[in-house]
Amino acid sequence: MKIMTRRERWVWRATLAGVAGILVLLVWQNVTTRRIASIAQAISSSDSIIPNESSFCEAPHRAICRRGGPFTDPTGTVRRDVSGEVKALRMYEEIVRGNPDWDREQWDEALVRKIYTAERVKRVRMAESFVRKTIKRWIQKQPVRIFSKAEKRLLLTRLDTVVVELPIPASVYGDARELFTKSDVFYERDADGHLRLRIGGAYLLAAKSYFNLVFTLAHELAHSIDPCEVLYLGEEVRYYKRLVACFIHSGWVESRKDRVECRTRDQSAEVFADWLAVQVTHAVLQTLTKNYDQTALLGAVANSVRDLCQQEESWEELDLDWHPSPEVRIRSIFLGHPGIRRLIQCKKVYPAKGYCGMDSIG
Amino acid sequence: MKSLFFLLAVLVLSNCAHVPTKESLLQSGPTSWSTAVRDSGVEVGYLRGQNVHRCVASAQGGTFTLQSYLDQELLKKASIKEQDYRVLVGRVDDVLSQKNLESSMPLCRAPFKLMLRIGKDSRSARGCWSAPESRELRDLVQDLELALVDTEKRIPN
Repeated sequence: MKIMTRRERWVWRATLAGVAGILVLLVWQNVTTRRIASIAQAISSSDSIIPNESSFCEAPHRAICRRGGPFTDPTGTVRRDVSGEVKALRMYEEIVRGNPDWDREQWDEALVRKIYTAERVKRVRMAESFVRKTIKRWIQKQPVRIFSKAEKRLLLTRLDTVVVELPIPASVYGDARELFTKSDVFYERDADGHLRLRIGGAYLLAAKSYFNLVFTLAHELAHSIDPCEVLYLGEEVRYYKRLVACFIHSGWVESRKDRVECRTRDQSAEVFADWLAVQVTHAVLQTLTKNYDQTALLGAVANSVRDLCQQEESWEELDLDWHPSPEVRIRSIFLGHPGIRRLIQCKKVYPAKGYCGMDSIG
Repeated sequence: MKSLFFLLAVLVLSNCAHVPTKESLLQSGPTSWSTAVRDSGVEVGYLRGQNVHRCVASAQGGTFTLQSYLDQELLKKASIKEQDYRVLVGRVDDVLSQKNLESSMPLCRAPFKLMLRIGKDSRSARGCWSAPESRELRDLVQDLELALVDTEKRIPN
């Protein structure tokens, strides 16, 4: 074995140091380039930054509502602005201008066929079926201490009576033709006492996420069995009293001095509809997001309630404050639900005051 | 008891004192109504589902406009003909003259408010959008929505 001279050792060490230096430089350059690229990408499209589960768990309203652009989940997006209505109006204008010799019925029919396509209607019917089954299962599984047999019968019959009305033909909404270009989804009792749920055409253009469709339909269907609807029927469901008391105690329903149950400045029906819709949404999230990565899962969670971010504003003393604030709806009722918190792996599952109706959620 | 009647009388009178109806204006001469309408405005707002819709029509300086809002955002604005505007104000006047507009529905999920301003005076009514009593108003709003899209179409009387 040849022994290196002092000079050779020095050259050898210098070479090694040089190679190591070059390697370190290359790695550093690569890392820096990537970091710069990612920062540049983030700056250029801040909408695409997906908040992590920690922001969803700690500050859900901020994470879901303060984002500029839409969230994307594998089923679609939700736009909570006027874009759906503007799009529907433009479609209508095109039809009217292109066919000036037609009458109103013909224009409406053409618009309805463009918006309520077979594919969209199929999605609505699928969501409707899921929502009905889930609510029915929830009613049926309750022990007698929650719902008596008679109460179960009342709620199930009531739920079965609601018809989800969808055009085609346009005449289905003959008494509310403006609805084709509106984003309203609502439950109502018509003049003859029939219960129905209607879906504005602009909603179908703006909300493409299946999770939003499920939450929205569940909320509206829940109104058919909410505490105020039951009170209106002159019936009583004992458990509702306990539930509403919890809603008030938790601050979900504002306890105002001038609140008159189901009449004046009372939010209990809306909170009930949200609370039940959250359970149905939890079920759909559990079922459909099994193979989602974290980004897709958070997108699905956000899209479920994305359209609750904006609160309708009072207009000329019209009492519109029967919906709780978006913060209460998203932070406390939706992302306070233990199952949804578990799904997105929140460290803290139960909020400080507990979650209302745990005895019936199971 | 007397004071109660007095109070009621004052309330009724104060409510009616600033209400220029079409009928009352026509009684003061055909030009009164015509002139009054040139400085007027109509606003109807209603809540349905999560949304607040508003339809606003106004006459100012010989211009007649129609606007539609979703929550606070303007969706569409269009000019309408004076004759159409007069028809619209006449129909709103008819709706406001309905005695039973305040809904009989005990549980109202879709409240509305209708307002008609003529000059400095105004009249308004509240009710329930889905109630049978609101049929005329719903028809009117449907016609206004169509007038926003098809500006050539006349608002039916």
